[in-house]
Amino acid sequence: MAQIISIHSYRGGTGKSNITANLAWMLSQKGYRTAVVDTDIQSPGIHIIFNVRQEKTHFTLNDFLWGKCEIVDTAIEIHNNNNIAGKVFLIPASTNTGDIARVINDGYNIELLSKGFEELCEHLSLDFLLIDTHPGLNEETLLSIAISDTLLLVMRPDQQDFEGSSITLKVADKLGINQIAVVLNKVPKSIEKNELCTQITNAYNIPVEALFYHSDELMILGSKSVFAQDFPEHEFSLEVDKLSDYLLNNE
Amino acid sequence: MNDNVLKSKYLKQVLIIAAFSTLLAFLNYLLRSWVIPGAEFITFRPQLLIPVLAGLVVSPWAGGFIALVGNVFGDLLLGYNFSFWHWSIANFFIGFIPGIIRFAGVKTITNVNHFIKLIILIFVANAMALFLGMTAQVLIEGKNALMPTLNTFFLPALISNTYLLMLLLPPCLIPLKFLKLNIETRSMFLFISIGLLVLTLSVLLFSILNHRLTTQLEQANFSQTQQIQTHFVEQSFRAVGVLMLLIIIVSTGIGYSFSKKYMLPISLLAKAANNLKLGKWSSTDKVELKGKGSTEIENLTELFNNMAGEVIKREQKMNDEIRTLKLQIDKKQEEKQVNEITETAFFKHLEQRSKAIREQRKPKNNEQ
Repeated sequence: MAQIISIHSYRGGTGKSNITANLAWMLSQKGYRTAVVDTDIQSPGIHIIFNVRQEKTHFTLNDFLWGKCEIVDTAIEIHNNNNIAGKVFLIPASTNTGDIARVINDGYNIELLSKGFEELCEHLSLDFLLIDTHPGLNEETLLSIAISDTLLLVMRPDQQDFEGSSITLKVADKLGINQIAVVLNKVPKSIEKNELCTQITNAYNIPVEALFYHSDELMILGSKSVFAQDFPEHEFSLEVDKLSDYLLNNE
Repeated sequence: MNDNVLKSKYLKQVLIIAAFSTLLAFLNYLLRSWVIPGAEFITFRPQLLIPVLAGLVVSPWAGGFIALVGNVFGDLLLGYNFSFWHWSIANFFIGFIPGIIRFAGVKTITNVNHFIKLIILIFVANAMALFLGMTAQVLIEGKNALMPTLNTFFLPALISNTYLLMLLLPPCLIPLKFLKLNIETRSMFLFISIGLLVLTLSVLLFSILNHRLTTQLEQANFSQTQQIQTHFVEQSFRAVGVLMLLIIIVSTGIGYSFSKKYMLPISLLAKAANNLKLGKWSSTDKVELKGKGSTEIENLTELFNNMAGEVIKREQKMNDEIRTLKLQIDKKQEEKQVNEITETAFFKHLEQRSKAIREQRKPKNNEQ
């Protein structure tokens, strides 16, 4: 059975797409078939990390939502040199400015999304479906969260993210999500790890499953390729590994 | 009204001039025997302090006239009559010139720059005045008088006057509140005093020895001359030795107290500042002066200790804030925002269906 995981952050710029891409790659390395859906239709970006050019994409998530194609037609297999059972598929959103404007102005049938997710899981025989959501709590994000088995809440250790994540948690709780975990990202090196985790856990009553320290190399290299693939021994990659184990144990 | 004030001001100055020029004249007379070796008419004249002080404290004119009038009277008392009138005019400038320091913006001496100006003015006053006197003498007596005048009037007077004034003036200016002692002026005062004390004592010593030698030789017959000369050499040697010993003792003492008072605290402060820079300074650390520094150094030390304490405290506070993030949630605001989302029709619909959607998916997958 496929596990659907929403990766969400209340505000933008938390490094959510980056963590999603690395997590997908890590799961595929462990032999799992994983798909990443870029539901951040208003500002798509995860395709850059997977080095997928827009010309290569036949159809995008937008086309499916407008009824132009089946969801499976939009999936792109991300090639990795390793000859293993695990795979990464990307369902990109359109970067065409006209398409983006159309989504913002006209909207789309949100119910289609959940149908699409189900079809993906089935047709691609997925083990994991990772949904890279749009920041904030708009309708498609709420829907993504609502149908997910697990919600990963990505946040930076600052006041605004702290308050925002709390709102997301209250909402997710109402939607009856059982598995929720916090992923702390861009943590300044000066901060004491245990103290911070304790504080977050006490405030939210949910565990911190990964903590990524801020690093310059990640800032520079992480946005244009899958960092954990290029630097598997880096502390960031080890933490991604730990996070993937958490998801595997949930299964 | 203004006229009266002006008159009383003039009257006061005239009285001062009369009183102090009389005093100067008497001192010139009384100290007539302190003749400088090799100069018949030039004596050590610590009494020159009177016109110079008056010039500085009262006015340049007061200083000038006290020197002029006092010298003329003194000459009369000594029986020179008016034959040295040109030297009396020279004395006028010795009293007048230092007083013009007030036109260079110095009302009281409070820093090194003021001090340097004073020293320069004293030297310039004497050099200029005595040069004028010498020129007048050469004009009166002819070209041949130049070298004798230079050697027996100009140089001895210039040397003894400047030394004596530089040595004696600063200590006299302190009680008159014209010189304010602080970290700058005190060190200047100290070094000038040591230097000039040495010079003055040496000059004094040699003039005393010279005086004794001259009188002894005058009274001696030819056979005794040899013995007197040998004796003179021995005496000079001993005297110089004692003088040097005294100087070493005094300058060691002064050097010790100076470095203890200023240099040691400064090096302690520099070391502490460096430690603060390197982060090797804790909130309990303090620069402590062993013994007493000067007031300024004590103030500086206290200031440093306070500053270091504040810096550490601020750093600590910032570190604490970074290490333990104070994350707080405004419950009221949050509830409002949550309600805004959860009370929409869309959310209510989703809330009802979400569980069903998830449940629906699971058995379906399980069947496969």
